[in-house]
Amino acid sequence: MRALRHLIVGSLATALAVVSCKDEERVVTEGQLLLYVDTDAPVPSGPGQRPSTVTPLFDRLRIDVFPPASDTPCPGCTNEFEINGLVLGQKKASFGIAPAFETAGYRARVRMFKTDFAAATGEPNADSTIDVTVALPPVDATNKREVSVFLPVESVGQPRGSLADPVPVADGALDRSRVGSWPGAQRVDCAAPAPEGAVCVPGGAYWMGNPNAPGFTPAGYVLQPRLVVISPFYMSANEVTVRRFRRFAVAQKRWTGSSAGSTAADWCTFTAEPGPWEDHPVNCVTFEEARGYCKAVGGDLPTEAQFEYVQGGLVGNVFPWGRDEPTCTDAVYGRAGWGTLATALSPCKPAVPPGSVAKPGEGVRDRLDLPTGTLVDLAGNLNEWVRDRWNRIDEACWSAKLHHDPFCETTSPSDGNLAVHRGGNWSDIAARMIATTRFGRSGTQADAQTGFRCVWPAVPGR
Amino acid sequence: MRSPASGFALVALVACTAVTPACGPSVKELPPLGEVLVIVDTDMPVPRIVSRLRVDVYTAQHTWYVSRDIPRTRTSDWPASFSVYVPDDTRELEVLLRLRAYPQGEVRDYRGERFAPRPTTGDPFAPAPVPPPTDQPRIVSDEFETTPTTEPTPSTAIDRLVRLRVKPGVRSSARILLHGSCVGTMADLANETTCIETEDERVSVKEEPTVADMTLPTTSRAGTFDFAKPCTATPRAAGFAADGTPLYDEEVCVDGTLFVFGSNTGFGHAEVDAAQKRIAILPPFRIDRYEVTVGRWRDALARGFWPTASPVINDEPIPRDGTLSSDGRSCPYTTRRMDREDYPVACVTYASARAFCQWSGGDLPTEAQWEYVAMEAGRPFETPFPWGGAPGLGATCEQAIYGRGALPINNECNKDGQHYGLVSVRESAKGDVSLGLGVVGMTGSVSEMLRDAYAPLDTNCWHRQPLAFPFCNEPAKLRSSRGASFTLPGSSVFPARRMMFPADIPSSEVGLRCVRSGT
Repeated sequence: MRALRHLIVGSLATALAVVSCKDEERVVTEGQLLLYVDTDAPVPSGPGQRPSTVTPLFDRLRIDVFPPASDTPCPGCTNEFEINGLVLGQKKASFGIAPAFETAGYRARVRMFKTDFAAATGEPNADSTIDVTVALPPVDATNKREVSVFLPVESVGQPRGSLADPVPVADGALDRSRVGSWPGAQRVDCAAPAPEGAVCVPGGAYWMGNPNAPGFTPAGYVLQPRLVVISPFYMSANEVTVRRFRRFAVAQKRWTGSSAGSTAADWCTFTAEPGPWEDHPVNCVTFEEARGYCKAVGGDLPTEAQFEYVQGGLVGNVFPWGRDEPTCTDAVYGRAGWGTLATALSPCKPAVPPGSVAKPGEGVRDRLDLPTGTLVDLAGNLNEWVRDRWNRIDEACWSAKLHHDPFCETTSPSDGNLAVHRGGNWSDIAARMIATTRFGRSGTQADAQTGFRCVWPAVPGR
Repeated sequence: MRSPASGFALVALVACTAVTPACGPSVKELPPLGEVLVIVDTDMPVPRIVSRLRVDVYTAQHTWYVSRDIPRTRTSDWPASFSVYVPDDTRELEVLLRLRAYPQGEVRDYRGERFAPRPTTGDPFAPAPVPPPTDQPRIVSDEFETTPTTEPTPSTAIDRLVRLRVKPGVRSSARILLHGSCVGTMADLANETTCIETEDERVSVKEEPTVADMTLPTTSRAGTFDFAKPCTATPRAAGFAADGTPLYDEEVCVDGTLFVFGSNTGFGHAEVDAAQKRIAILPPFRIDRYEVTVGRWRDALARGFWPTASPVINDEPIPRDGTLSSDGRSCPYTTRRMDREDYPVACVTYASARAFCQWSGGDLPTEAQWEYVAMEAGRPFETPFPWGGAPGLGATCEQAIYGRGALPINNECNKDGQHYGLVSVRESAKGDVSLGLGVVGMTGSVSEMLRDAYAPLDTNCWHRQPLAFPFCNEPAKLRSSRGASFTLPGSSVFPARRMMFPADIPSSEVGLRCVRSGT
């Protein structure tokens, strides 16, 4: 009978299954392995715990136990648990495993992942999973052997060990938990003085891209999840206005004076002399003009990663405010419908022409409150140029699974030399305001839907 | 307001948390505090409709103490159970529990209770009233706040309030079934009314009876909610006109079902709120495998069908270079048989199309029926395309008929400029075929007329609908259609996209297929 006992994966009384108590009844106490799990990743706070200032990156653990020479888990040997700071932080993440006695060749595959990215089948998304396969040492009939496995953030998306070549477990129980200690995840404040009109965006880590992001976008436009560490930076509170842009203006498309929208340039806000749009964001600028302005004021355009970080509220939300689909007062979008844009899908078409870019801050939920100020119009009003060259998800810039302040400077082999804009705009549908949506296009194409804002380094020497 | 000390005590005592090792054998070692073991089950299918359980605990006076949100993704995860203890051995504890079972990912931002009953009056095309955000109640102690940022979306959650009394020194259990009929009936926390077993019916919350038996059931009722009626009617086999022309009129049988109507891939795409989801129950039905063809329409005329208006007639070849003198040049229907008998019929009015389906013994599909066949039937989970597909992966020119316009913005599948316009339903059968049922042409070809009036899913018309067979049955000039047409660019080609068309203006981009009863 003992040979059939090779199975139990159950949490102990104090461990992982937080609501259901069913698993505990199956726990065996002698002749078993006790496998402890630890990580340096930030995980959600447990019930009653003070909410963490660090964004949780993982919330689920899956363990599969494979018998010798088998590459499918034994029956009942797959288990999944919610994880949180109480469970991991108190060294209580442990599993009882009862293999056949004195038998080598058992392996355990331990995966930590984020539920939101899992496929509908529940299968973890590989790019964003910490995946370690360990060889389990033999046990005899009388001892309880304690071993542990560590899931390092640095190995995200790069499995350690395999069924054919498992890595060894560490002997002994955990003496302390390192949960949340990964330096990349820490909120880091700005250390340099703030430029005028700029807000400090604290550094931290987030998931860029989301395979389950809502909305339909063509292939390559949404990234698979990439763990990104962002250094703190300063960002313009709003899209750069006509008034600020004027003294740096190069040859500009002009507002034609028509508000009917008979040509696309009718929606351009810039005027050579102070005009009716002084405090509106400037649009109809090329990538080079936008970047030129930012450099002239001592900064640069944001990177794609920086922009998605703020657009998702620093925590990977769908929108700066969360995940509700917007209403027409929440953000500036869907306001086309007049002139040459008469046929546009336009849920928020204004009653009178022209329908256009709004003054900064009109969208009541399109704002991100930060300790030193508020960023507005991150999702709507104008698309915004970012600094990177366009690369598809499967191209060189985004192939790594963990990035530190990524900035893509290489041309896309598939799509050529394209610039990128992020965010939605006044004339387009709500789906374009989803934080993970990206768009590659020619940098010389200036249009009434695109403007920009600038960023400045907030760490001396960077 | 309450004292933080007592608040913390209850937090620690709710559920089998690590703070209170209360599960399994160790329960016996605890001091004899009063306890109610709450055993929560559901009869909904797991994980297709229910995969998470949200537990919120309030005092009898509605102070919110704690909130937990737990994945319960396998049938074996149900029933779920946890215990509520009295914090000391001298006094009784009365708590209000809120239990919500819902599908993973179906959450909205928490902005206060915003309780809204199902509307019964009001303009069907106006948005259903939503109370303004209050951001109350919240979970606050003197030290920190733990109010969750999201909550289950009411339209896809079973939402149940339970009042429990925990007596000192007494251990007992309460057994709660989260009933499928209650999905979408939001509990009214302020007035303490909740759905127990009847759709859209809230009753006052009474103290939940408990029993001394503390044993946990070994089986769950998950999946026993009775909706899956089999399709017992005989589907029509492929027919032929008198001269042997194939009619492409065969049907497939669709078993009754319950599914999440509305899709993430439609999020933010339509005029308003395509993604507002609801649970829909569909009785069994039969659906045409192909879009109604020119030949089938002609055959119906020969057999006595008399439409209010003929399809627009185009006796010329469709100009493959896309140089059109009028939209009529794209229409497939001909006076006499030409080479387009197997093309989908288009350029018909809504009244004529619906009359055709009714003459055939059925009707146009409802939007819910159409979405179920295109995106869900024959597979364990919703997919973005009839053939499956994956998020972020659009259709290709080989998979569906689209992008065959004449302009740079819509000619991606007409690159040589010689492939403008509609084609035979046999072309759609090469790739645009649904999993399981094998229904053809739902992604591209022509957009397909539906029985529903066009209304955003957040309107009164949709919010009034029952679980069973919902459709927006209102007279209106704007009607719903689904499925892309041959002229749309790839970025608009996905079956979740809700579309509309004017009832009396025939278009080469809009056609039809029919449904009939499945019993």
